[in-house]
Amino acid sequence: MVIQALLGCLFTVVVFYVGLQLQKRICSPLFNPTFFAIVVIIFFLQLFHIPYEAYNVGGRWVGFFLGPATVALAVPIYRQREKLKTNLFPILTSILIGSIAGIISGVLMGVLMGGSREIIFSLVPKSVTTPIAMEISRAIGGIPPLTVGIVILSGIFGATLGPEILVRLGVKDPIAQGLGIGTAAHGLGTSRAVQEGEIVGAFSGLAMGVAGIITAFLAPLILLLW
Amino acid sequence: MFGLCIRLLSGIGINAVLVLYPKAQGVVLVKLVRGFIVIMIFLFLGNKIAVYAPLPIPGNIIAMILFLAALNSGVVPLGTVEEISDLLLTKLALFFVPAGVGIMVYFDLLRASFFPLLVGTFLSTMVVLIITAKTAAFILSEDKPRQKGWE
Repeated sequence: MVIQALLGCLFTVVVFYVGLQLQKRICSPLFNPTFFAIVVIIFFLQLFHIPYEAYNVGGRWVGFFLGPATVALAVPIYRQREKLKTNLFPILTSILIGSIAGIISGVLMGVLMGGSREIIFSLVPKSVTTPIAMEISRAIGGIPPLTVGIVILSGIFGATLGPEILVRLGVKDPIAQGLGIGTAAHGLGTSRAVQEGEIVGAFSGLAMGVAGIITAFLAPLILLLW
Repeated sequence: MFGLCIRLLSGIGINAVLVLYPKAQGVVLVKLVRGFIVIMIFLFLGNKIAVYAPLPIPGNIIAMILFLAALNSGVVPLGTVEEISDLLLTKLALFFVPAGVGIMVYFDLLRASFFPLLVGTFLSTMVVLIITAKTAAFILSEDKPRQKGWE
């Protein structure tokens, strides 16, 4: 049992590390080490007919750190508190409206594709940083692993296309760009936003945290309406 | 009282780590373990409160808000938790790999809706991006003087 757990744990870390090294070589926002690790591990498990439960004996050890890591997200928000205070109104208003639009459009897409209740609810926290999104998904009755996949996809879309789309639509203000990218594409968007400029990056990081908190309070309201 | 508890707990934690890795001594390790225990206390509190919350709000979000309040009010000085937070956040992308692998359990359920999910996610992400940025740009352009402080 202990060996099985150690193997699952080590395997996860090693495959993720390989993904990180590949990312350094490839240097493309389309390549994501988490996505790579998930695909490789699933492929490996399917190949050798290992059930998820057996892998997760060790996987759980790695996943355990998600809880404390989410709490630690308070630190980057705290570091940006001056920016938050001076721009409190535009930040909160735009993220609130953006998050509501995200929840409504997510539910709408789910309904349009004829998805089941679980699939629709998995789409609700799609733009929020993964650890928060997973917990929201679990709390409202979605499928957390599906949410992980969708959140990473959102991040890749937002990070690769976000800055260009905003420029084309005439959003030139770096604060507005950062807020849009961080709210729509969480950490992946933020790593791209940092390359666009210091202000864009800082506000994207701030938006990602604030959007996570706001969505955590908005998403459960769906249960009251449904 | 809070500080004393953390000292006591981290003493136990550090000794446990030192038994496992005798080489890993030093101030950094002590700070990491102490910071981790502080964070775990908040996580524990958040999860406890979440049980009694009227809406299903995740315990780790409540913990994060409590933690932010504690940092802001000075109950927890940033120095105590800075290293461990940065360490946890740089490894964040690794921690949700096992959860993501869990999607293999749902393959049969999702096979039919793979493409719609892809398109739906794309469209919804763009909606959030554009609406948030446009709203922010609108408010900021109405409020020029404040914006100047950032240029």
